[in-house]
Amino acid sequence: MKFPSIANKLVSLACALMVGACLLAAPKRLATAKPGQCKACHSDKPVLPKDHTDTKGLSLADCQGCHEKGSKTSLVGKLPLMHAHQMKGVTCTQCHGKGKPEAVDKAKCVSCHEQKALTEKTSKLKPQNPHESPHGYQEDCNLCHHQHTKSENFCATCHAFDFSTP
Amino acid sequence: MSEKKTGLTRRGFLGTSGAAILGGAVLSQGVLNAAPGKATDQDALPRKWDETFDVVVVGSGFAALAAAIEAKKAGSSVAVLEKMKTAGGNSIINGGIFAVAGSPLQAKMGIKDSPELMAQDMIKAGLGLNHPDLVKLICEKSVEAFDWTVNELGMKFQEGEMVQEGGHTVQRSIKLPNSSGAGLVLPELAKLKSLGVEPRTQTLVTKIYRDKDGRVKGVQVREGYAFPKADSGKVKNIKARRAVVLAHGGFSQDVAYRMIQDPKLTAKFESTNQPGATSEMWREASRIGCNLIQGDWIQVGPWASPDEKGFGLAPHFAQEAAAMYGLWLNAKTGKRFVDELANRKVRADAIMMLMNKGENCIAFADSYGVSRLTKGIMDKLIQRGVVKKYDTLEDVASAYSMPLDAFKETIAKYNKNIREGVRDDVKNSVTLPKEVKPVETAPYYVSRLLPKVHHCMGGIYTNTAAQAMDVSTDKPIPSLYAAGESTGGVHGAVRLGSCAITDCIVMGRVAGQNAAKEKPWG
Ligand SMILES: Cc1cc2nc3c(=O)[nH]c(=O)nc-3n(C[C@H](O)[C@H](O)[C@H](O)COP(=O)(O)OP(=O)(O)OC[C@H]3O[C@@H](n4cnc5c(N)ncnc54)[C@H](O)[C@@H]3O)c2cc1C
Repeated sequence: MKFPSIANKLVSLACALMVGACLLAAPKRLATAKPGQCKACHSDKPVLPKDHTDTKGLSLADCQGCHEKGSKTSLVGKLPLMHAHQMKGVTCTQCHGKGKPEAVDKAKCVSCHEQKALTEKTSKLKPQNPHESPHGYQEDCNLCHHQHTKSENFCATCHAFDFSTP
Repeated sequence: MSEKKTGLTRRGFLGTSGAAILGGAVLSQGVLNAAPGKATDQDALPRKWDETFDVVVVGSGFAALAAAIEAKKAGSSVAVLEKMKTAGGNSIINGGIFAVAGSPLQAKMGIKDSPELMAQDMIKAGLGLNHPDLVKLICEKSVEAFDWTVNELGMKFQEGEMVQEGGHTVQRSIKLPNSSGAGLVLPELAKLKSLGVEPRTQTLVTKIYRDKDGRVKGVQVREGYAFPKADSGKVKNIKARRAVVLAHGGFSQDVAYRMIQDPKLTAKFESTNQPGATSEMWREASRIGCNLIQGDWIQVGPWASPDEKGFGLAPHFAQEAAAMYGLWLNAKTGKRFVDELANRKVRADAIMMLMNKGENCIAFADSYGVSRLTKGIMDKLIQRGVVKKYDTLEDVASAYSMPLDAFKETIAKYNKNIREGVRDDVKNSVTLPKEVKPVETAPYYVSRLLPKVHHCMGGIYTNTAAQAMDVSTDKPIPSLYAAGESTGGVHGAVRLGSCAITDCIVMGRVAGQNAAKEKPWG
């Protein structure tokens, strides 16, 4: 663990450059992209294998036709969640509003994903229902479910719980 | 790299154990040269403050939240700064036992207790390193702290259950709802929210501004900090018009710093703490002239398990079933090796010494013992494979390669003593829980014991007003308060289980009340 100090200045400069470089290469977040139209945002670098079916016009349900839930090729936990949203037709503006993107709070999430139902859905997960954390962490969806980076299993910070997080 | 390393060692030495050991010499010279606020490394104040609050609180655990609630109620504007993604620190993952001397719950169970007895227990385990005035205050205010959780936070407690942690002479530890510190942190957070304050997470405090006049005037932060990336987030300066309260907790997860204090505690020891329990604020407090005392007293929790990560749930079984109503055994000999209700240091040291000889220890309870646990915990422990269930003593012996005859003899002897009320060789350092019975009801339960780094007894030296004291002058640093695990001198050499919550609530509240009374500057 390193913390800020004068000796770290150089390192921080290097990091800043690296972050800068990453940002340049990051996919565009195009509000106008159509579901399944990967290339609209990922134009610089193809993200699908060469011989992958053309995804244009596909919905999430279509993807799951091959990438079955629970199978080896399941997409759960592999794609940042906004892809699933996008492919289900939930576009950027529906969460972030039109104009300057607004931060999204929990109320937005539970307006579609009713919390009680979610908790019920994961009630069989062992060794612990993640939506019934004794620490109250279910009150912040974004601790686990990220939209623009890969989701994470926040419980694993302290526990060896093996969840794959959508 | 090497430059950084030397820097850390120097600070660690001067700031903490060095100051403690050389106390006399360093102090008298300091006093001769004393000028208010003659701290070693003062900073120029920033040209511009990005934001201003009356009281700035560092951390968001029991102590920070108690301080913030009090300061806000006294009319101050308050900022609560937390570097991690979630509020609550170690407090929200804590095991949920809370020492109160003379609680109504004890009265209902016919348990006689007093602040004096609690203080005596703390100082005995603490080897007299505890500062008596702090201990006295905390014990005397423990009932008030309990009342505060009921009246102010609206908490409810289950009657008729009480925990006895090692070193307490009576059952005085109240179980929080859910058997977790979250049972108290969440109500604190809710209260604070109702007052209009929410912790600002992912806000790392990097600097405390102490001005030339000696007064602490604000902090520097990185907003949007992503632990553990030291350079993440945007630098901002926050002015504290009245005071800063430090409640940044301990450093059990910081291997480098912990090895400066106690070289034995190498990376091979896991910790029960949240990953953010690191030392940067300890170093910063030293740098601005706090007196950090007793930093090398770092507690290793004896009741943890190798079969789960961190603190987990094993301690509930190993303490509240096996230590209170069962036995701890050396699997190699089938014999008890320690007083199961001795303080944590005695027990952890005993286990580690045996482990170093290649001998392993287990916590053992029968069905009666586990019936004393909070509902639901055993199911989880069994499901997770942390506690194993056996139908017969033979099965237990064979599972842990324990000599059966010796094992049976140990149990027979223990049961005989319990039946006859003979105190020799039974947990004889304390009053046994009244409900103790012979261990004889199958099925039987076992967890393996592995000590883990748990708590920092040392820290910022404070007075009973929660003011942080200046290392050069022995006078309070103007406008700087500290409470909770970031402070030292309360628990001495060994913290008794369940006393941290009491300390955090009592001193957190005192810090918040006094911080709000400081005269604003500028
Ligand atoms: C697993 C576990 C179980 C325990 N069980 C019990 C028990 O049952 N009973 C009991 O009495 N005690 C128990 N303890 C001990 C007790 O929980 C702690 O001592 C107590 O929670 C400390 O509270 P605190 O408010 O001082 O600090 P914490 O709750 O640790 O909070 C400090 C906060 O400050 C933050 N912070 C640190 N540095 C910075 C910085 N530079 N900038 C911004 N934020 C910062 C940290 O991230 C943390 O969130 C337990 C401890 C652990 C780890």
